[in-house]
Amino acid sequence: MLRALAKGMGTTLRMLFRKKQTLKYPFVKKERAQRFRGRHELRRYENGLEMCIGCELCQVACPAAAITVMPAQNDPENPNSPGERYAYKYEIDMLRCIFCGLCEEACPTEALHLTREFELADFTRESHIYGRDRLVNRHTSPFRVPENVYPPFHGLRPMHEDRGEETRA
Amino acid sequence: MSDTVTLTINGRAVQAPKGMGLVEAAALAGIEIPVFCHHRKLKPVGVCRMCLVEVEGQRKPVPACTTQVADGMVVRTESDLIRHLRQGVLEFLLLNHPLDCPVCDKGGECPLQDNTFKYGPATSRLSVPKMKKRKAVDLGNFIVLDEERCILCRRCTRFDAEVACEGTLVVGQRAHEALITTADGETYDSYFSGNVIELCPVGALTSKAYRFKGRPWDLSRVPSVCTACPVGCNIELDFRFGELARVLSRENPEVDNGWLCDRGRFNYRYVHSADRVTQPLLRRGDTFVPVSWTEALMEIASRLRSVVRDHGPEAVGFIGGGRLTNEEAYTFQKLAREAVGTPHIDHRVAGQKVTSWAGYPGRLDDIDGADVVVLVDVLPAEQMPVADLRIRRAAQRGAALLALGPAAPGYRVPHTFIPVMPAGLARFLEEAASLVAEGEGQGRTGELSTTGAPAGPGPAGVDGQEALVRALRSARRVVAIWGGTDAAVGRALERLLNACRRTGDDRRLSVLIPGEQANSRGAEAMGVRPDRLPGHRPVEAGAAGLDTAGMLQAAAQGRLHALYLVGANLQETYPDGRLVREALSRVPFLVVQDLFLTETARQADVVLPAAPFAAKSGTYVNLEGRVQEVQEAQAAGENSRTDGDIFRALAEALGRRLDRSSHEIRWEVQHLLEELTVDGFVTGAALPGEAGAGAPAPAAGTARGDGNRADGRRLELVAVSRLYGGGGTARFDPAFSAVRPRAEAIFHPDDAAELGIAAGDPVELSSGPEAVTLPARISPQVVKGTVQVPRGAEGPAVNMLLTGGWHAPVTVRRRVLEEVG
Ligand code: SF4
Ligand code: SF4
Ligand code: SF4
Ligand code: SF4
Ligand code: FES
Repeated sequence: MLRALAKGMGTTLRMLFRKKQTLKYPFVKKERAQRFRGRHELRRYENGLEMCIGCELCQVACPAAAITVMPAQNDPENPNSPGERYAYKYEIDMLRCIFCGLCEEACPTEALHLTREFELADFTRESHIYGRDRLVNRHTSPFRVPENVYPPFHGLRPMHEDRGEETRA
Repeated sequence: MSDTVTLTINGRAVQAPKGMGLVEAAALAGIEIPVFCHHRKLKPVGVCRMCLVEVEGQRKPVPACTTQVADGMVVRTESDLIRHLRQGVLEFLLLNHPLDCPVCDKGGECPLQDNTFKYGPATSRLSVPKMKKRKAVDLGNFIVLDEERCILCRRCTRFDAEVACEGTLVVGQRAHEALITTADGETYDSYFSGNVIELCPVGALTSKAYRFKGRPWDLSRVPSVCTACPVGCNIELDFRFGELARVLSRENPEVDNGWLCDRGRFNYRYVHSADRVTQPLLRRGDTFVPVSWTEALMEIASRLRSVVRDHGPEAVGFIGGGRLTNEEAYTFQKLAREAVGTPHIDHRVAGQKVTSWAGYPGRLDDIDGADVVVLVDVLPAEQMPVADLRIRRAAQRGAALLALGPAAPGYRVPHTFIPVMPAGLARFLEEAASLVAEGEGQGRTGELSTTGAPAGPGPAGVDGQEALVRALRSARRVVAIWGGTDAAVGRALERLLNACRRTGDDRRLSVLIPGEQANSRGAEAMGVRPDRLPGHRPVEAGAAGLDTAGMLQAAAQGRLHALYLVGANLQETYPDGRLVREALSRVPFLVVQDLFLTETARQADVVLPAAPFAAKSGTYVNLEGRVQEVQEAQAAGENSRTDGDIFRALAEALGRRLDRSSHEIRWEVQHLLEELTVDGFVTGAALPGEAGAGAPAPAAGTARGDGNRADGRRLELVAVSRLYGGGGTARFDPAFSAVRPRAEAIFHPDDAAELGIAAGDPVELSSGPEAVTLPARISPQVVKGTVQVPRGAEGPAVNMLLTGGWHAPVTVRRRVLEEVG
């Protein structure tokens, strides 16, 4: 019996000098994998325009039905995104999200990106619904607006205006 | 010879009726041949080459859409060659097609996407930049065109030419620069423009109202029936998050044939208008205060009770109901007759006299087979638009189309317009009837009367009566469409048709009457009439109540002490603005049940917020007597209630439970309709007899006192229906407020010259003490001697000049500038 006791204490003693597995979490954070999928962000082009065009493909790709996109037409004077369409409402319910990344994969403009941020705890359910205010980045990214794909939007144009430069020479 | 042929498609024997196209024949066998330009309702043109198939014996692949089935034909649709060709066609179509799918409204229901996915090459070999064309072109009132996306299948232009028979849309430019456009200076403002959105196999033509509202996969779809006019086209309501996002057609070959008019398709945003009344309102002095339903109903009940106590139940009148479902209309008349006890109830709010006619029941598909279509004082494009497509098609195929009346219908198909003033219409028809009956009339051309018609030949340049008589003599199938505005005209029309019947043997004669509101016929069958009980049963002799005109007169004279209006903005719709004004200001207690605070509702003592059509379930009767059912598609909204619920609650507040659940009411209505049904259609009512239905004959054609202005000239004022005119539905709809007709006075060039009026000049139309100033427009379409104004237009209320009919003599004079400035 003493033998067993000594063995147990020995194990404890040995473990005491091993490298610690636990982290002092709020002060020390765990290393995350390079492709860790955390909170979403909606990126901006280098010229500051939003990359999201409100296509709703992320919404339909999401297996958890966590995303809601409401598109609208851009104001030609003050566009949100290149081209005619943008998302005037964009919501992700982080409580529903399973961080599968399918939305990111579906996004045709690479606007949607899952960051490595994981600290999403909060006190109410409502506060877990992230809107445009928390999802759209304030900073720009190195992406450039692709040419041809999103021609500048001038608003609806009358049928019989001067056709001018637009038909290719 | 048999009518079917047997052919082999992909090794399978297929039986198909002779003359069928290969695409449809393959579909019968469950084999899909991909198409772009082909559409079964349009003539095949074979421009896109997507449908190429191999036919044995043919040197080259042939387009299936332009090939008809033949006996013994051997077709292959899935060979390597065909697969290769399809890839080639798709690659070619995508050559200059922009990468717009993520922002394109068609995405998710786009044949180009689907076919590319199914038959196209997986990758693109294109490395040079795509051609650029204009995007977001404002094609018309409701449509945005993206020139880059168009694949030039020409479905839209073919629809415009073959179905709408208008020919405004054309293909402009040549070769790779080709694009869809309109003739220079024109906009695409057809009443049927919305259909090209559904026809377009790509996202080149999209709806302004639905622009960037959602994706097909996030819409929940509810089948419904359009309530904007009495045709009753079948529609599909697409909701997103409980909001009506768009309206699509739901093909019913017997009613709409898959088409919708723009009013039906685009006039839906009023349902979510912020201007809707959302709470019962009670008048306190000059203002309204919002109150609870209980309070509002109690107030109405106590006021009605005191009116009944002091003046008897006959001092209460009920007007409206042409847009209610049959069940609601039935409850409505129960409220009036049982709970209140008054016989005064009428659904007619716009001066129509006759809504249905048992005599010569007409069906919409009668028009398809007609060889003569006679329009009597009616503008089908404005009053029954989708049915007008059948008329246009009939005329294009060679049927004689004759229009009688004070306003030209403005068709682009061959037709004869015979200008006849409403006052002379009955006589005109009666004379035509005797000519047809006599079987002669050739020698009488000289003395043919065009009573009431203005001097000079009409635009048709033919003698009208002779043309009509000649057409009717040889006709086998006649469809008469009548506006129902004057019972005497109806009787004359009956005589004319009787005359045709006598001379013929197997003739089919039918009459269609577009009601003034979507369910006028249903309301009539449910007894929302002073002279008829539910089921067209006449009331006992002498017990008939007052009709709308009678009630208004009684109210104006102070004999009616309470008026209850349901969805009736009489100030706008009733052709005697002065009478309405007097009646509404005189009547001591006015209840208005409506969606919006219309000018009529603003005069009310109590306003009850009703729910829009999408929140109702029940049945409707369309203009041919077809019963169509709708289901509740949407909740009534926080504080509005469906009309039926309001009637029931009010009856209860009156202490008269109608002691019927909605199921019982539904059952009774069904029973009533079944009783009325002949050959699957609800029959019409009998034509009112010579004695008139108690109502004083409309004072149409008589002047209301004479202003006797020295500088004025007397012209006949003709107020014409306009599809986009009238109704809170149009006024409070962002898509429609812009296209609503503006009030204007339209003159024939000769009259304008005589009066010294130029386009845009302010002109004063006056009748008695009432005068209205409108900007002038000049159009050769207008009959000489008349001045045309649109009904329900934005601007001064023209019905102030009318006296019960939609036409009246007025004095016209040009306003001198000082007076205006
Ligand atoms: S990560 Fe997955 S579950 Fe979360 S929003 Fe995206 S698609 Fe939906
Ligand atoms: S995030 Fe991407 S996929 Fe989602 S709506 Fe925006 S552009 Fe479309
Ligand atoms: S606009 Fe649409 S329907 Fe018209 S030709 Fe182009 S692709 Fe066809
Ligand atoms: S024709 Fe009448 S029923 Fe049909 S869509 Fe137009 S308004 Fe509605
Ligand atoms: S579908 Fe046959 S050629 Fe277009």
